[in-house]
Formats: sequence, C-alpha cells, structure tokens
Amino acid sequence: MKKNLHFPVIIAGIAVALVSCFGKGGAEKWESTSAKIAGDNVDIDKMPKESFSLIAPPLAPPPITRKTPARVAIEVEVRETVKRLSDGVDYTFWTFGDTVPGPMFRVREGDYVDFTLANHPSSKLPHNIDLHAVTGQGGGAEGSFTAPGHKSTFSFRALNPGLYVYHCATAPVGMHVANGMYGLILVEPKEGLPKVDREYYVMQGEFYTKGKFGDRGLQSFDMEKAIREQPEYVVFNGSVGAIAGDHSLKANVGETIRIFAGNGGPGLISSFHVIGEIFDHVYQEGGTVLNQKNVQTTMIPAGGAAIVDFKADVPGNLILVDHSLFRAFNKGAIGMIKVDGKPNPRVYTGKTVDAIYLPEGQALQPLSMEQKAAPAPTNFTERMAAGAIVYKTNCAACHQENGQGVPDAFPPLANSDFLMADKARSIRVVKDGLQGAITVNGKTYNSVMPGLDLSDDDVASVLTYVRNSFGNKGEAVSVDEVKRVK
Amino acid sequence: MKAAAVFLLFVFPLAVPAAEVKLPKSVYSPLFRDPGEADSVVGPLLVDKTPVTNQEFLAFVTAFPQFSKSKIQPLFADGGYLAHWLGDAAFAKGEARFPVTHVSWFAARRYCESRGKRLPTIAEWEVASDARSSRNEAKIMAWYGRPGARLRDVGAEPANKFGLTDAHGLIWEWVDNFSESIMSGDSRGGSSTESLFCGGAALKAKDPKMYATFMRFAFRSSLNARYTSVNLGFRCVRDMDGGGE
Amino acid sequence: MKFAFFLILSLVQTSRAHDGHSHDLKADSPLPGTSILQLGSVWKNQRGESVKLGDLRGKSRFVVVLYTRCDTACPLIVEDLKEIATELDPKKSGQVGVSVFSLDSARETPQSLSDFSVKRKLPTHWDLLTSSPAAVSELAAALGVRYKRLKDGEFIHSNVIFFLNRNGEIVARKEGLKTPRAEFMKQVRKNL
Repeated sequence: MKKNLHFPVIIAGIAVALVSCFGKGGAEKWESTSAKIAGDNVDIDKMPKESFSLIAPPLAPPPITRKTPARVAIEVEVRETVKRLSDGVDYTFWTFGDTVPGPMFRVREGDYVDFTLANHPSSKLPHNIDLHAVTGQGGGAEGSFTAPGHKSTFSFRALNPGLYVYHCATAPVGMHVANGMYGLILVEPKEGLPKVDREYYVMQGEFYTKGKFGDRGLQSFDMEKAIREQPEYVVFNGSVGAIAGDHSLKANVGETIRIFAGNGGPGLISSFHVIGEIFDHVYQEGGTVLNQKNVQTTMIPAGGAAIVDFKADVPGNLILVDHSLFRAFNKGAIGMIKVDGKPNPRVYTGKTVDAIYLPEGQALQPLSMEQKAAPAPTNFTERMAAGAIVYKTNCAACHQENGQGVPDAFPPLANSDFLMADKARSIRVVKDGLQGAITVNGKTYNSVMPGLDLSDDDVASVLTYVRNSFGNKGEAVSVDEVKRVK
Repeated sequence: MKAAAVFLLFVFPLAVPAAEVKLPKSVYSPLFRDPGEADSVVGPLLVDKTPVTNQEFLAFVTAFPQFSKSKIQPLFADGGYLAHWLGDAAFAKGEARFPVTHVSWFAARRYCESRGKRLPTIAEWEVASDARSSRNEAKIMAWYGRPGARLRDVGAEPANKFGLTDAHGLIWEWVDNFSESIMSGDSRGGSSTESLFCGGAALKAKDPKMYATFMRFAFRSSLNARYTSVNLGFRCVRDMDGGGE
Repeated sequence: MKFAFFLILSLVQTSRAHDGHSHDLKADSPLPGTSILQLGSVWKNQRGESVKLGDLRGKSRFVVVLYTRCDTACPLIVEDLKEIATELDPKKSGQVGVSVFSLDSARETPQSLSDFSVKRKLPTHWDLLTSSPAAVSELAAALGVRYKRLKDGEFIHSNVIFFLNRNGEIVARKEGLKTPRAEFMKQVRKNL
C-alpha cells in the first residue's frame, strides 16, 4: 500500500465485486498488517534505540533476534569512486557505502528508522535514496536529497515486511542507477524468517560502457547504449567475478543457504538461476508469502528482489547465472558458490558413462566482426600481461582461473599435453573453436568450445599466456603465426 | 607555516581587472518549463572570461574581512567555506589561478557586487557557457566519469564561441537564481513537482538525452545559499550601459 | 490547473533549527551567527513605514514569504498562521510578532499589502513587508525559501511557516499547507 493510498480501496472494491459475483454475499473486510502498524500510535520516543552496523556484500546482516520494535539509526555514505569493473577495466561507480550494491539494511516490521544519507564532499553531484520499503513521498527520495558535502536525515516506519530494493532517484535517475546506486533493504516479518545456516546478498546490475566488453582502461558511461538498453556488462555485485573465483561464496554440504537476490537493473529483468541446484523455497518478488517450492529459475524484475533458499546436498561449484545466457557467458553475469564436503552418490554420481557422440557441425558464433583497438604488446612480458586479461575475460569461465578446467566438462590447460603438442592446432582451436572428443592428459572430453572472435593480437597474447602458465612452458605465439593459420 | 608552500598576497586592490567577453543578445530556451514559460532573451552582457580565481578572491576577503574563512558567519556559509585554504589569506602554492571553490552564494554574490557586477542568472549562464552544444554535453559527461576534484589554472583551454573558458568540465558555478531550480529531491516528479514536470515532460519528450543539463539542474536544486563544495565556484557578469550593442 | 503552480514545495533543506536558547538579548550585543537579522535589508510595511530587519530583534516571531496577488496557496498559508496564532496562550501571543514578506518586488506596494491585510482580516499587529529584488532573494536564500517568478507575474514558491527566536534564529519550521502542526507548536512554545 505504498505511495498510492487509493490502492487498498480499489482492491477492496474488486474484492467486494468478486464476492457478490459469486453470490456468497457479505463483503469481507479489507485488512492489512501495514495499516495496523501505521495506526498503532506507538510512542516513538520510547522505543529502544539502536544503530545499524553496515556490512559489505556479499554478506547479509545477521537476523534480528529482538521480538519488539526498535528505533534504528542507519547512516550510509555516497561516494563517486573509480573501481574495477572487470580485469583491466575500471569504471567511475556512484556508490552507497563504497560498494556495489550498497550494503544491505535489515530492520524489523514495525521498526522506526532514522535514515541518514551523507554525500561525500568530493562528489560532483547531489544524490538521494528511494527505499522501496518506505511508505512516503518518493520512498524517502525527497527527504534525502543531498548536496555534496552535506547529509540529510529522514525517518520512516517500516510498515510492510519484505525484501525491497533501494536506489538513488536523482536526475537523470537511470544514470545514477546504471552507475551502481542500488541495494536491498530487508524488513523482517515479526515472526522472522526460517533459520538457515548461511545467508548471502547478491544483486544483479548492468553497466553501459563506451568501450566494448573487455576493452581496457577507465570506461565511461554510454548514454546511447543505456537508452537502447544494450549493456556491455551484466554482473553480480558490481563487477565481473565479484562473487566467483577467489571471491566465491562458500558453503558446506548439508547446510541450508539463503540468497537475498536483487536486481538493480536499471534495464534488464533477471532470470535468476543456480546451476546445479534447485531452490527449495522462493519468496517471489521479495514478498512475505512463501509462494513457490522447487523452482529452477526465478524472475527478478529490475527494481525488484526475491528470497530463495536451498540445501547444499552435494559438493561442487554451484554457478549463479542470469539464465539469459549471453549475459552470463559474454557479459559477466556469473557467480559461484563453492560447496565443500563429501560426495553423496545417492544424490549425484558424476559421469558414469563416457561414449562418443558427434553432433552436427557447430557453426562459428561471431561475437563481432570489429577488431578491438588495444595497444599491441611489444615484448614477452606485455604479451603475458595482455594474455592474462584476455584469458580471464574469455576463457576462465570454463577452463577456470587456474587452468585446471572442470572434470568431465572442460579440459584442463594446466600441464596440458594437448595444448602443448601442436602450436598451430592450438591457434586454430582458439580462432575457430573445437567440437567432439579429444584426449587431454589421458582423459577424454567431449564438449564444444565456441570459436572466439578475438583479434589476432589477442589470440597471440592468450596463447602465449596459457602456453607459459599453469605449469606449461613454451615459446611465445606471434601475431604472424596466428595470421598464418587459416 | 612553511613559507615556501604558501602563497601570500599583500597587494590590494588587484591591479588587473578580470577579462570580460561580450554575450550578444541571445535567446534562452529552458529545459524545464513551467506552464506558460516561454523562451526568454538574455544579454547583451559582459561576462567574466574565466571563473574567479583563488588570487582574486583573496583580494576580496582582504577588503571584506567579514568574508574571510575565520570570520564568516554561519548564516552566510557552511563549515566548508574556503576549506582548501590554509588560512584567512593563504592557499597552497600553485593554486593562485585555480578557480576559487568552497564558496557560498552569499560570498559569491558579495564578491561580484564589490566589483560592480552581479552573478549571472540561470538563463545567462546557460547561454554564455554554450551549455547545450553537444561538445559541451560530452565534456561534462566525461567530467562526471572522473571522480573528485581536479582543478587547474583557469583559461587553460580554448574559448567557447563567445570567448568564455572553463564553463564545463572544471567546476560548477553559482548562479544568482539557483533556487529557481525547483526540482525536488525525487527527480521522477511527484505531487510537489507537478508544476515543474508537467511542463518539463513535454520538453523531455523532445530532448530526453540532455543528461548533463539534467545533472546541472539537479545540482542547483540541491543547493542552499550557504552551501559550499569542492567543485563549486562562480564568475560574475555586468550589464552593459544602456542595453549595449 | 492553476492550483498546480502552488502545490506545496516541500523542499529538502537542512534544518537550521537550533535548540532555541536566546543567549543574548541585549540589542547592542552582536547577533548570533545564524541570525536572519544580520541581513540588514530595509523593507516597507503596509503603513508605508521603513522597517530594518535588525529592528525585528527582541520579539520572537512567525515569518512567512508569499505575495498578495496570489489567490491559492497564500491565503491558505495565512489562514494556517492565523489558526496557529490563536492556539497560543493569549497572554503570550501579544509578545509574538508576525512578519509576512512579499516576493513580489515589482508589484507590491504598501497599498497592496494593506489591501491584503484588510481582505484577509489579519490582526493589525502583523507586519506585511516589501522590498527590492535583491533584499527578497537574500532573505529567501537565508530562510531556504525557493521561488521562481513566472512570466505572468505569478510565483512558484515554498510554503513554509518559520518561527524565529528573539535574536532572529530559525528555531522551527512547518512545511506545506495545512500540514500537522503538533511538533511545530511544541518548538514554538519552547521558544516563546
């Protein structure tokens, strides 16, 4: 019943109409818990006070243990700051709390919140916050509109429990959100959420950079791409790999894991999916009714959220994706939960049959015919450095950061006999892709590697890199050699 | 205090008057229109070629000590007033020709008055700075892309079509009627801003991509006359006698 | 939709409300640093008398900024203020001044102020004041009142009732038309 006070009346009207249509007679009374809280006349000055401790994503603040409402002070700082968007790629983020997403806030239904927004003196722009959990003008946007070097406080009563997005709402709003100004606030229902072993906070958002995905250097915001809603990056928690590799979320077999999943947008709807798990429970759209069980992919609208949980039944790497898959594999929307523990073959066995099957030819999937204009490396060291970035951007998702690959799926590059045996073949594989069964270090792999539309220069760099990393030792690959392989 | 690191100016008044350029009579077409608001005419006008510098401002506070860092009253400036200065009459070496920032509207206004000038209006500033040219829009967008303040000497860039420099991509500038930017904190409109947005919406449809202009208006809306900011300075203008030409 | 012009501009401003202690009431002592009365501008009231802002020292007062040709929001804010004044202890209300400042330098005259006062049945001790555009913009800036003059001579402006202590410091403010006033009155009573 936020923002539009007529809404409940309309709903009530519809309810009445329906009831009478069905001939049951007697209109049911419209009720809401939020209206009860709004009208409870609690003495705000007598509420116990506490101040909220900010905690950076992907961690969620701890569950609330008190059983009565409190007056909670939350203060968050806005900063305009350069951070990593991807390897070799920087971006000027506008942040709440110096992170993207901003820290997750957690209060209890019925709490009275004194919210302070501090805009860092170095900011060029005014900022504010619209908390979707707020019933009131602009969700707090007016009360928090703050010039650089100032701070504003406004107060609100948390009337409606649920998981809500917050974001900056200063003109141009889309740009403030596209630069990273969003986060989540959980208003815990009075009765709390069911206890789980771990809680994480993951938020999707997209970035519209002038340069293409992977173009190095400090990238700036591209308004045209933003208006067309064609981002170069779609990421979880503010950067490519923010919750993957060394930063993966962690869990143990047998634990229950809850994810507070949000989508800052500003433009795209997320098809949130965890590869290798099924959500046991979903609170769709961040509401308080457990309205789905056993869900594969839940939709999270831009400016919306969902609460999902599941039990990690077997060890392995669970991959978080936006199942609009080009966003996952080409724009960065990949995260990982590493689940440690003993395998349980009664749940999952791993591969038990390995036979050869050759499908129809796999066509090359061109990313783009345009060549990237990155400065060409001139010596081995530069080649290695450039190759490392190309590798992380294009290869590490499958072959892994350490080149170990994924058993039974993606062959290792580390100490790889297949890779090192034939330089020309390795060039061809990177240029054209590879399909069908191959044997690497004595094990057979039968998957598909797409042809990557890398520049000849990037091919030379990445091959020089992989042939001289992960325990491999070989000569550098030159651009000429790459050109010669047709 | 290390003398080497400090620039002290004891001379007053400043010998060289600020260079001015002429803004011919021009039409200003507002981005946000209130109902019935039409294009307006600005100029002819003499506009300072560059923003006011630390050195020029020092001469002013020397003559009007009530505007010095230690003496200014809280009604006229917030606690950040001249925060980058080292004292009442000193700033870091090398910053003499940097635009003065951390100044309030009251101080900027009084400065201009003391020179027989005034602050420009929104309309005058927008026209004189050639704010709507796509080149300047791009310049501002690039400026936002670099966080923090990176100041430099004024005048170190090619002049715009009226002969002005540094209007974009260096600092924000005070305007006399900043408080006319009645954009509420919630820029998506709402009950308190209908007057702004029912007019603004029509124009927005015509030109939804003036992000830099949106930001400038949002910035002005967030200000209060006593506010100061590391990125906010000013320049003055002067009416031409008898309408000029 | 003329009313739209005058919708409450409940703008965000840092509250400059202080705890309201008037440290020093002697007329010759310096004004506190946040006092509006430091502006020193000169105004004309509805009787044609000159009033210096500094003259307003010594009496706590309500302050509003409006223009008398305005026929929507401004009468409402004046009615609001009348009600507020009657809510005060009658013994004390005589000690509280009311200053109504006009935005409309171009058209306002002592006569138009006086006409408004009669038409709206304002108590005679209320001062209605007009001055130059420079004085208006300074006062509005100091109060944090935002306004814009439209082509037809109408104004868009913040609707705020301020309460100043005897030294001219803002100690309470109430934004909007016919908004709840309990908190505001609490502050006012504290500072009478």
